[in-house]
Amino acid sequence: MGAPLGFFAAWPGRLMSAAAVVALCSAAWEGQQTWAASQAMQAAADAGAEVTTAIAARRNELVGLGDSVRVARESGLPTAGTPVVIVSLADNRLWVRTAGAEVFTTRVASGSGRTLLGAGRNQKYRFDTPRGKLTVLSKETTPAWVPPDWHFVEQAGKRKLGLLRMKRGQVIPVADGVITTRGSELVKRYRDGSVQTLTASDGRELVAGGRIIIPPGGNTARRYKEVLGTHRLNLGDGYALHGTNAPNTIGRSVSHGCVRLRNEDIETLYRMIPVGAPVYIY
Amino acid sequence: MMPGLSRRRGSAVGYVLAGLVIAAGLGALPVLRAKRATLRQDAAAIRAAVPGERARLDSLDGAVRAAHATLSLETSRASARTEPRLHLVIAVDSGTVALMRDGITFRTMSARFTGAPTRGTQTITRIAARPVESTAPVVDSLGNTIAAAQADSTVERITLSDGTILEAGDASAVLLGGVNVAPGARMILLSRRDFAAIRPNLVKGMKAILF
Repeated sequence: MGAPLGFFAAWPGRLMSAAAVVALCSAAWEGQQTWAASQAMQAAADAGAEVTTAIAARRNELVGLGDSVRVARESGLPTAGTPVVIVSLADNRLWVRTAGAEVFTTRVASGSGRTLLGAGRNQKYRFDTPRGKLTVLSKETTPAWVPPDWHFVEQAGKRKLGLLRMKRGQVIPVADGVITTRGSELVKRYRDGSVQTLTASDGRELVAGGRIIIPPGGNTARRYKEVLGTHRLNLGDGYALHGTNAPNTIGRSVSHGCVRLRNEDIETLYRMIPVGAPVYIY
Repeated sequence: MMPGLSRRRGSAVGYVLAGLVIAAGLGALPVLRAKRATLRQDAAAIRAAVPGERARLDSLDGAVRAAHATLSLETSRASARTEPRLHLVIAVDSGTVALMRDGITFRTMSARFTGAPTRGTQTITRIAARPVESTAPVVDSLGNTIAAAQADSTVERITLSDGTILEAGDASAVLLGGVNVAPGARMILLSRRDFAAIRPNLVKGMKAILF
């Protein structure tokens, strides 16, 4: 203990000790200041990192949202190459669209909305074109029309005649012989034994004894040619898109429920629309 | 050992130690100062960069909000396209109403909107007729009645689940804004021709997608 105390006993020792203390204090103060600066830098770095992290998170979110928007934009888009038919009953107009683009449009005739009273009690026929989604089930050229019962009811009403629903094999006496069926034909047997095959057409139905004959189903006398124009696209339940022998009716609500087109238009449709294509009627 | 020699040696150790302390203290000072200056520069650089980064973050926040709005719009449009049943698509900003099914637009109609219909999916809750007041007769410049304007005695109106009413009006009046609408009423006015074309297809419970 004597040596250090000896060092402090002299003035130079005391001065050097004081200088050493000052140097230590200065170093300590500088150290403290540096530590504070490092803390401040750390805080700034933390704040910057927080913003950087948030930016990265937003960028990721944006990428995800962009993907979702792209998926939403692409979902439910019309498939290319699938033509669809749209019919507006209010406008009596038909459109064909492929991949959302209109490729054909024309005027049509649609159901009149009339109601016809049938021969039976409470029997009614309503001539509406069905609204909704139908499908082209089959296509045919030079279609024959098999008139439903309402056609004969309508003709009987127009011509003020009665109705006679004929059964297969039934014999109907007439002035110069009888009318009966032979296979799928309707024939007239004359008293002299000769036989004539009978045919009928729209507005020229067979009449016997003041009554219009309704030939049995499948009979050739119940197949009218040219009434439905050149082509037909069947939609099921007796409804169809077809041509017409009365082009002046196009653009009006006059049909019995089918959608009529001019023959040149139904021919275009026949070529354009495949079996299975949807037909939307509204 | 002589006492004087021991005292001198002790003093020498003291001097050496004090000198070392002074040297260490003085030597540390510039190092610490340099380090502090670097730290301050780095902190200042970071602080200077933060406002820019925050601005980028704000801009990204805006972009995210816009993307959410776009997604909502596109989702509504997608659901309008993928809905397999017949439904109405009401584009408020475009001012159009469309009849759609299976992604196919059957008819797009110009419409006049009053009030702000609620965007999203709604349904038709009511289809009813309301009586129409008789309109004033049309007179010529001399005051002679040239036509007793006879409006329909009733007009059909379609009510959506948020109370918005879809109704027909005269085509020009609908587009030019000449139809009287009660203040505060949320209405979508279509031309009579368009309304008549779609009306038979509208049923209670049918979806209406507004965006």
